[in-house]
Amino acid sequence: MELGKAGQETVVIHSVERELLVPGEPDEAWEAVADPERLGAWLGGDVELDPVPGGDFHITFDDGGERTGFVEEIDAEAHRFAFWWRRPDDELATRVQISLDETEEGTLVRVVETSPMATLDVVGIPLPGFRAQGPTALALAFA
Amino acid sequence: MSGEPVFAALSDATRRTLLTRLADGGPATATQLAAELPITRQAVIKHLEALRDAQLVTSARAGREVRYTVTPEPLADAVGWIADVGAQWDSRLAALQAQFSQPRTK
Repeated sequence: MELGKAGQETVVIHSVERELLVPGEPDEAWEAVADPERLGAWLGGDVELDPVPGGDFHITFDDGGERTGFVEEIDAEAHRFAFWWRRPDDELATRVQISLDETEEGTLVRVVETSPMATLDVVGIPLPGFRAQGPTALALAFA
Repeated sequence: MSGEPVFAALSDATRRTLLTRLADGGPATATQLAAELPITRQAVIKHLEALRDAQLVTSARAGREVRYTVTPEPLADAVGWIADVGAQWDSRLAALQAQFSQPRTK
């Protein structure tokens, strides 16, 4: 999260990224990560998921919290799963992207959660004056 | 679902151009944008309304016109959001990791 100027306004970007290395190949990890039956076990709740682009997504967390949303992308070959979700009382949804990459030591599971503006950078649509800076922040380039 | 307007807004090239222009060049009215870009004023207004529905831009009266601004996300919220969401993903990934240490029953 960084501050900067865009015209006369200060714009702040919400972006969080985390990584986890797990043993095995991406195909194995994919099942643990994205299978509708197993997704809830690690997200921490009961998941209802229609695993197709545009499909509904709903989770009731074990602590009672809730999210509703939809699937943007779910690709077992590219090992990419992206969905949008929001709390019942929030208007703004955030985007979650989970991707798996093969490494020598196993599979790297990468999660990036972004607010709508930050999503532009994640999907490769850089706004002039914005640039990615490190794994957990987007920054505005000062003119 | 409120994620859909955002996704729809971001998937259109003209809307991305408008958003880029507002982020880079600052707030503007539909008239100014139509003068700068190869888009009719009518089309600009339609696209800006889609961006506003998606909460990517906000609007305010500026005399007889309406000026559009890229939505600023409040600073105080950002710090809390990043901390909270970061902590949530730490705990979820720990749960995921635990699955790989347990032998799977068939």
